[in-house]
Amino acid sequence: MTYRTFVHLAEVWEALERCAPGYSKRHTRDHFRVTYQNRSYDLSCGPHGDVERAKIFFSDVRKMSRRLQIQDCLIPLLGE
Amino acid sequence: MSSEWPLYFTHRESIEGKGYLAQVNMQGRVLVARENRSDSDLPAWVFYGVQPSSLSAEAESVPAAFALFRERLKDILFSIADDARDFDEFHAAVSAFFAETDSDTDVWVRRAAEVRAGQTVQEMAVSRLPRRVAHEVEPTCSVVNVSAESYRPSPENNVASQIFQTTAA
Repeated sequence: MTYRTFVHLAEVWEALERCAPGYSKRHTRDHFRVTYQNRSYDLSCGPHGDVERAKIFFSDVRKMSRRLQIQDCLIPLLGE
Repeated sequence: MSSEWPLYFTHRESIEGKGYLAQVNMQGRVLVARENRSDSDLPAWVFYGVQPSSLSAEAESVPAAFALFRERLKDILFSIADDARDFDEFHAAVSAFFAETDSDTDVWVRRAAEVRAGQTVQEMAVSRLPRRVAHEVEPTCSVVNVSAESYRPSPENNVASQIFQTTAA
């Protein structure tokens, strides 16, 4: 299966609401620290103006999902 | 034919913290994948961290992806320095970050076993990388307080940023 290069940050938050209920996020420097069940991942947003319009590399979202152990739920929601 | 390859990397970074200057030397592992994208004619090269595991980077070539991977690593070390109260806390947090694993570790181990059993690497972008036997590149992470009075700078401490492929035993 092939995937898009980027996903929008809003899509990532929606998917985390479903796959990682109760997750937390903290914006630091050029990334968001996403924490779920005592596991954290720094999701890179890159330098930009409007944080909430940031586009995220799909591969970074996939890596995050592996770290948080939610890949079976998250990837089908964001894939094409 | 595999489209993901088990590689090693070396990298050194200088990080300023709260009252200290630290040198972080990593000899780690990455799973490098060539992936197609639905919105691009060119394949993407992705570095998935294995040790450390909590980062990834993507670009249109192996060297470009490795450069972005090092930038991501630097950003994460900056963030750890922002939060750490002192050098000891920074050292502990970096060591913990390096030790974290995920499912990519299992894939890396399987692919490395295939290579060591003699499977040839067909992808030129990977096969032309320098080779190291496993014991030469055992994963390590050292964090040194170079602002301490006891530290003695030496050119022997310089480390080039490189990626290596594993080789048959």
